[in-house]
Amino acid sequence: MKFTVKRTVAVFGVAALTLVNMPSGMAEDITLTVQTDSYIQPAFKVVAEKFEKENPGVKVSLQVLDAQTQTTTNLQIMTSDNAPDVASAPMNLPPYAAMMKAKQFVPIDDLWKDANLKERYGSGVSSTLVAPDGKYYQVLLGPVYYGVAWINKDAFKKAKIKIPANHQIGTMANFKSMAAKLRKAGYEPLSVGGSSGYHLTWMLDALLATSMTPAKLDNLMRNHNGEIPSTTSYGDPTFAAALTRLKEMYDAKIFQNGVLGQDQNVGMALFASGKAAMMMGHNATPGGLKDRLRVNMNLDFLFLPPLKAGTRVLPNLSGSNTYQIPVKAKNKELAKKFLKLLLTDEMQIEYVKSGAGLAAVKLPKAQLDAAYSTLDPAPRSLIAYANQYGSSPGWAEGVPAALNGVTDPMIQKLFIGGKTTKQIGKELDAIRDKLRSES
Amino acid sequence: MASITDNGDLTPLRSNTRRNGVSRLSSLPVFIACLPALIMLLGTFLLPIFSTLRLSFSKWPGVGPVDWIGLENYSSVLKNSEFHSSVRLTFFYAILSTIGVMLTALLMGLGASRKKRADEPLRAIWFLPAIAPATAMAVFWTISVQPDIGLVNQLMGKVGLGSQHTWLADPEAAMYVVIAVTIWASASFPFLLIVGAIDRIDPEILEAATVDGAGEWQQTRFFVFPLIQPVFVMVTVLQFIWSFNGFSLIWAMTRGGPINATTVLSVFQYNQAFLFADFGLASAVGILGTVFLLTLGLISLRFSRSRTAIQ
Repeated sequence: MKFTVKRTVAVFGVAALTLVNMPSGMAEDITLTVQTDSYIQPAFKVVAEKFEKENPGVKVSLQVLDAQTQTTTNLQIMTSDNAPDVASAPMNLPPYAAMMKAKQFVPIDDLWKDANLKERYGSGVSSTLVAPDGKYYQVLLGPVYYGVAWINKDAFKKAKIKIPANHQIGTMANFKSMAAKLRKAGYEPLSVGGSSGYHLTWMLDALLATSMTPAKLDNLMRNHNGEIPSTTSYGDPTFAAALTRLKEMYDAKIFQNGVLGQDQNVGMALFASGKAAMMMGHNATPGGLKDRLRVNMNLDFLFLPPLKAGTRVLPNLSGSNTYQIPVKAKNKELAKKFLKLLLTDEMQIEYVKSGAGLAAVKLPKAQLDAAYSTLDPAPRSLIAYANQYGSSPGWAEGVPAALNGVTDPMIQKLFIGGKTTKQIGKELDAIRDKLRSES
Repeated sequence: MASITDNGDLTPLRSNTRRNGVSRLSSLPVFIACLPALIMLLGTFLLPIFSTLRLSFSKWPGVGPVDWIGLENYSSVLKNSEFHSSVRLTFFYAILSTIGVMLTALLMGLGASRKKRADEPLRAIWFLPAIAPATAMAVFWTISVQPDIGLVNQLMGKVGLGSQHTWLADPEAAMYVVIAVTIWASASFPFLLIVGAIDRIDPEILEAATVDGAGEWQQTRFFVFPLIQPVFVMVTVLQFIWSFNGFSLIWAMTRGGPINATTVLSVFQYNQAFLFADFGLASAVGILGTVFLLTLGLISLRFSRSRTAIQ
C-alpha cells in the first residue's frame, strides 16, 4: 500500500471527524465492577440495566464468582489494585473475616440511613449485620433456604413411591425403603456433592436442628467466640447422633454410587439427567436447573428424617448472602448507589422473581405474594412451607471456616471408618478452643 | 557452558575466552547487556522468594499487618500429621508419575523415531495432550471415570468388567487415577525431547551395528540408551520436579480428596493459605519444598557433570 499525501490526509480527516462526533460520555465511561454468583446473576442483570439507565456513562460489569472462589481467593481479588466496587463476601467465609479484621471494607452507615435499612430489615436482621464497632459495613441481599432434598416426581412415580404430602420422610426405615425402591427402579437415590467440601456439612446442618435443643445449637454456633461462655461441646451425644445418622445413610447406600469422588456439579448433572431421583439443594436449585442446565423437571421436596421421631423438619436459613464495598474500590460512591438500588422494594421484588432467594427487606404483602406467584410451583411450595412453619438456623452458617471448612473431610473419614464421632468431637473442640483463645 | 570444536569435541567456553584475553575486556559490556534480564530476574524470581521466606516467619491472614513469629510456623508444620501425610503422598505421586511418564515417553519415542511412514502423524497425535489445558483434561477424565455415566466405566461395562467402579471415591484408588491421568497428560513433552535425542544419533553408528549383526533390541540396548542417557536423566529430574510441584490437575480432579487421599504438598499449601487464611504456614511449607527440590537439583547437576566428565 502506498502512503500518498491524499490518503494520509483522508485518514487523519476521518479520524478527526470521528473524535469530534463522539458523544462526550463515551470517552469517560466508568465501569462499576460488581461481584455476584451464578444463581443471583439473572437478578443482578436486571439491577445492572436499571442502574446503567439511571447513571448514563456508567457500565456495570458483573464478576461471577463460584463457591470455591468466594471461599478462598476472593480475599486476594478484593484487596488487589483491580478490586471490585461491590464485593460478595459471605459472612461465614474466611475472606470476610480477614477483610473485617484488616479494616478493608468501607463503612456504609450513610447508605443504611438513606435506604432506611434498619427499619426495613427489622431489628433481628440488622443486629446480625452490625460490626463490633457499631458500624455497618455490609448489606444483606436476601436469605436462602437450604437443607432440602429436591425430588424428581417422575422417578418416584416409576418406583411406585407415594410422595409424603407433608414433605416429611419421617423415619430412617422409610428413607431406606425409599432408597431401595429407587435403586430397583434404576435410580441413584440421593445425589450429594461428596467431594465439594461443604455439601455433607449442609446435611449435618439439616440434622443438627432435629437433634439438638435450640439453646445447645445456638451455643455451638457462637462459642468459638471467647466472650461467649462455652456450654456445649462437639462431643455432645446430640452432635454425635447427627454424625451417626449421616454414616447410617452412607452405609445404607442412600447416596449415589461414588459419592465421595463427585462434587456438587456432578451431583446436579446426575439429577438433571434423570439418573438420580433426589438431590440436596436450596431454594434456588430449581431455578438453576431451569436456567443454567435448561431442564424442566417435575419437582417436589422432602426433608431428611429427623433424629427426634415426630419432629417436623424445617429448612435451614442462610443469611450470609452479604455485599460490601472494599477500601480499594475505585468507585465507592457509585457502589453505594448500586447497593441502594439493589435494596429498593422494586429490585427486591425482581430478586424474588428470579428465584434466587427471599426478600431481605419488609415488602408489602400483596407485592410479595405477586412476586412469589411468578415462581415455579416447587420453590413456591418450599417458601410457603417455611412461611407457615418457620426455618432452622444452620450451624455451618454461624461458625468460621476453621470449623465448617474441616467438617466435610471428617465426615468422609467417618463414612469409611477412618474416624469415630468421638474423635471428630474432640478435634472440633480443639479447633473451637483455639479460636476462643485467639478471639 | 561449552563450544563444539571443528573435530566435534566439547571444549569449555570459559578456557577459550580466557586464552583469547577477551573475558576481562568484554565483562562490562556483557554485564550491561545482561542488566535488563537481571533486573527482570530479580523482580520476578528473587523478590517473591525473599518475600515468601519472610512470610514463613510471620503470621499473616492475606491482608493487613504481618506479625513476626519466628520459627513457629516451621515447628508447627513439622508437627502437623496432615503435613507428614502430604509429604508421603507427594513423593508417592511424584515418583510413580515420573516413572510412568518417562517410560511412556521412552516407548513412544522409540516407536516414532525409526523413520517410518507413520512417524510424523504419530508425533503429532502423541503431542496433542500437551496442547490441552490441564483443567480441561482434569474435568474430562474426572467425568470419564465416574460410575455408569463415565466413558471408561461404560467401555468396561461393555466388555464385562463392570461399569460401577468408583475409583475417585475410593481413597485407595483415587491417587492411581490421578497418576494415570498425569502420565497421559505429561508424557508428550518428554517424548519430544527423547525423539529429538534419538534423531540426533549418527545413523552410521546404527548402520555399523546392523552390519555387525546387532538386532533392533541390541541396537536400542547398547547404542540408543547410552547415547540418549544425558537427555533422559535431565528430563527425568525435570519431570520429577514438575510432578512434585503438581497442583492444577490434582485440584481440578479431586481437590485433595477423598478423605485427603490426594492431598499432596501443593494442595496442603493451597488449603492453608486460601481456605484457612494462614499464609505464614503455607509459606513455610513452600520453603521446605523449595529447599528439598533445590538440593535435588544440585545433586542431579553434580551427577550429570561427573557423568559428562567420565564420558
